[in-house]
Amino acid sequence: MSDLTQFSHDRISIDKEKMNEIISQLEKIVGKNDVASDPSQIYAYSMDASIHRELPHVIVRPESAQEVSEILKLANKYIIPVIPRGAGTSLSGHATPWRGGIVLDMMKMNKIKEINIQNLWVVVEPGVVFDDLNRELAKYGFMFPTGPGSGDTCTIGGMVAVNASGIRALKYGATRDFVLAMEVVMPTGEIIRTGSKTLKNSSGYQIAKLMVGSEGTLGVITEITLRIVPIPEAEATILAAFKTTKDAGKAIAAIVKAGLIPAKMDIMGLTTIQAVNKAYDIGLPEVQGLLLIDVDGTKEEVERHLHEIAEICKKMDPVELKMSKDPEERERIWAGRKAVLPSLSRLRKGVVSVSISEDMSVPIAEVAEVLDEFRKLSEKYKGITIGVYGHAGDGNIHTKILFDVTKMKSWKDSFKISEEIYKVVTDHGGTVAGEHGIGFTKAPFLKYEHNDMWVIRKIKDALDPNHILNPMKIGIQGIPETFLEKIRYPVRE
Amino acid sequence: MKSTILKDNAEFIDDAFMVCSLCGKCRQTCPSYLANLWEFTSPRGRIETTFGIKEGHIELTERVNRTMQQCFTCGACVEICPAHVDVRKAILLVRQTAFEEGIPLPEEQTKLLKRIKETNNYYGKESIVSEQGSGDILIYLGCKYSTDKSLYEPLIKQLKELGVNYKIIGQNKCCGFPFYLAGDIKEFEKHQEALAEEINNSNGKLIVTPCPEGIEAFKQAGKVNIDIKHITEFLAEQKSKIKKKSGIKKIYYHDPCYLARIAGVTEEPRQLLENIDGVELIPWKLNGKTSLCSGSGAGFTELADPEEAQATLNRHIQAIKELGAEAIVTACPHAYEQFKKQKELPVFTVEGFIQECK
Repeated sequence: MSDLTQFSHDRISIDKEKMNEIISQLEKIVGKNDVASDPSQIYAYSMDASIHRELPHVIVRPESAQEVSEILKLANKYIIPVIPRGAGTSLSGHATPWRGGIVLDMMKMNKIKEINIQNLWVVVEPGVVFDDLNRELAKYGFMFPTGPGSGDTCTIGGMVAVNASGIRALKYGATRDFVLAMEVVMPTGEIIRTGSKTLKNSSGYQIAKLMVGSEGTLGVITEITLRIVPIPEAEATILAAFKTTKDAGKAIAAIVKAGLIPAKMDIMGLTTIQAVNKAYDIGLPEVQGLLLIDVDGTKEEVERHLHEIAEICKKMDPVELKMSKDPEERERIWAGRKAVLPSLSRLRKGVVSVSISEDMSVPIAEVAEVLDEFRKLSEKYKGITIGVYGHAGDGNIHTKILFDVTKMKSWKDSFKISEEIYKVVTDHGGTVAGEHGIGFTKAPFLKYEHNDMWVIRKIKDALDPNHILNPMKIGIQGIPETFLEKIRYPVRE
Repeated sequence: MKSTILKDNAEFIDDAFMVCSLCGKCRQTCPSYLANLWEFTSPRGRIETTFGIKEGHIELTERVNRTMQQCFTCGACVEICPAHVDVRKAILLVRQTAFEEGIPLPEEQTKLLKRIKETNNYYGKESIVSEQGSGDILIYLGCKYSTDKSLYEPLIKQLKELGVNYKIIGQNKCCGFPFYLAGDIKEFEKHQEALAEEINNSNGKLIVTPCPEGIEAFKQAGKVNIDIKHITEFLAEQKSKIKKKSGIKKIYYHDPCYLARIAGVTEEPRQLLENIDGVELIPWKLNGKTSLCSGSGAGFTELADPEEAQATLNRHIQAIKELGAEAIVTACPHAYEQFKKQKELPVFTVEGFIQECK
């Protein structure tokens, strides 16, 4: 017999007869083959890439806005939560159910509906994978830049829902900057079209932009129109290795101050470099602060910027400075950067990397100071390692905390560290989420940043009176004291 | 649950579960997930499930076993995983547990295993080998080559052209690999013992086989005491003696999962094909160790879920056609058979293609 009680104590209580009724109605909406409720099936949907686990009641795979609308109407009738889910790569628990409910797996809505080069946009369904979209756009010489590390897996719908971005955000911006229009199914089932297929729009409230970053709490996105940009003529990479993270941070500030805006400017700390070298044998220089910088533009621009940035880096006394225009070598270097997250868990036996305080953003000029503060924290807590990396060029830093996840004491310490990390970040004028959103894991830290939660709650109450959509995310139903809830790891001590 | 396999492997399963960051990179490489689009058919979903069964959170039912049997065991997930999670091993452990627990397999897989037990051949056919030979290069043909003239004859012709002093061994003896994949290790070992007895008592100095699954079977059982090579490795050593010219130009070479990823043989088949005058191998991202399964899954998964197998084949063929291929060449009898299900492009084995050339 399955024993799922420990992962379902916070699920809303629905008796068997009523659940069968809901399932049978869901089957009528999407067909029997797209509804799953076996214990083994809901178990696989009780997680995303965060630290949490909680079971849904049922999984449904819609294929149209109409089906989503009918599902939401049904959910309002039975007052059962609905959790939209893309690739489930959320690091903060966005796609993990908190009170059980219906998981909407959006992966069957995966069509690229229109690529319109003349008008500079593309229309996609939410389940299209970022890299798949860019492979298609590349045939026309265009791209949707942003560049999340999970680009080979994450979906456009998920990216829009958390306003995700990544390595190219410094020059090109985050997802929100590219969203022109969308089709959304509102929490009570109405289908709306918002925004326009124009590059400019000042037509009243920008509801489409509000939906970006709403983390599935305000509507289910069923179609997105994104602005696209041409792929630059040339690209090149600079690898600059520094003795300290502070030096790397200073180099970042100096490059930006000089008016140079690289396409990408990422940092890797020693722990993350060692992890990637171990996992992939890439041979990155093992220093405290490694910068990976990409410049793009015309051939002439690239050449000029390469040398200007190299000159700035030289003033910071780098241990190594390397420039590359070779596509294969560049891909190898960046593949290492993209694999930091999963590689960290193989760094040392007995400790694994977890996503708890993994994403924050500070003003660019504060990066050096903040990185140094993180280093001090790492020294303060023995037995816990903090891995630092991120898109530091735009002030976006990621920290990964490595510890023995089977021990409750480690978890408690990790929460204390996270509190200190986010205090440092907000004291330096930063935000607790640069590109991964809040979900549940980061909700406890909203208290350092937001004094507008009441506005957020008013919007939620107005649009989702029954709080059907993705409850307990973004602190809407109350800011939790800790993230130490519904841990998916086996805490044995 | 009576079976102790998962508990006995608790350290491995706990480690796999904990280091898996659920990053999802495995999803987009997994033919099973891409054909089904359910999280429980993804590699990370299967790791979660394995852990859940071991911990007693979920029951190993016929439905769960079917989901595990839907895995092609192609190992693409293992190859891409930055945390080196051996998803394939975890799945095989669950299959073994299911076997010990007496949980039924999908019907067509059950029929196959019954057929092999009765006939000692995957296809239930008799060997067509007419001339066994008496040399010291032992040729283990496997079920397909020993019963299909269109594969057997070009292979033998190639060996004769090169003057190989060979001996056909293991006639009417299946390597038992389908039992291994089904989790029936005892039956698998029984088949391997029968083969090992014949091989170890011969005067052979090397086993050569055209079947990549056969190589893995010998390796896993570890009962034969001489080296084993795939036919493409063996032929590549003598490629200078093979002078051919092809009428077909653009070739898509499909790296079989068990040859490329599991046995690590990727260069030799290419060397043989590139050695042919006029051949142009089409480059594709999904080749070598990152190759895409044909949809067969060692001739076993396709029986658990024919729709999944067909969807994978369709995806594969569509991509190959977009690449402009004029023919498909592979080095695995199961992949060969799978590709033969489409009728638009001609399909060859490596030595079959060489023999087709002038």
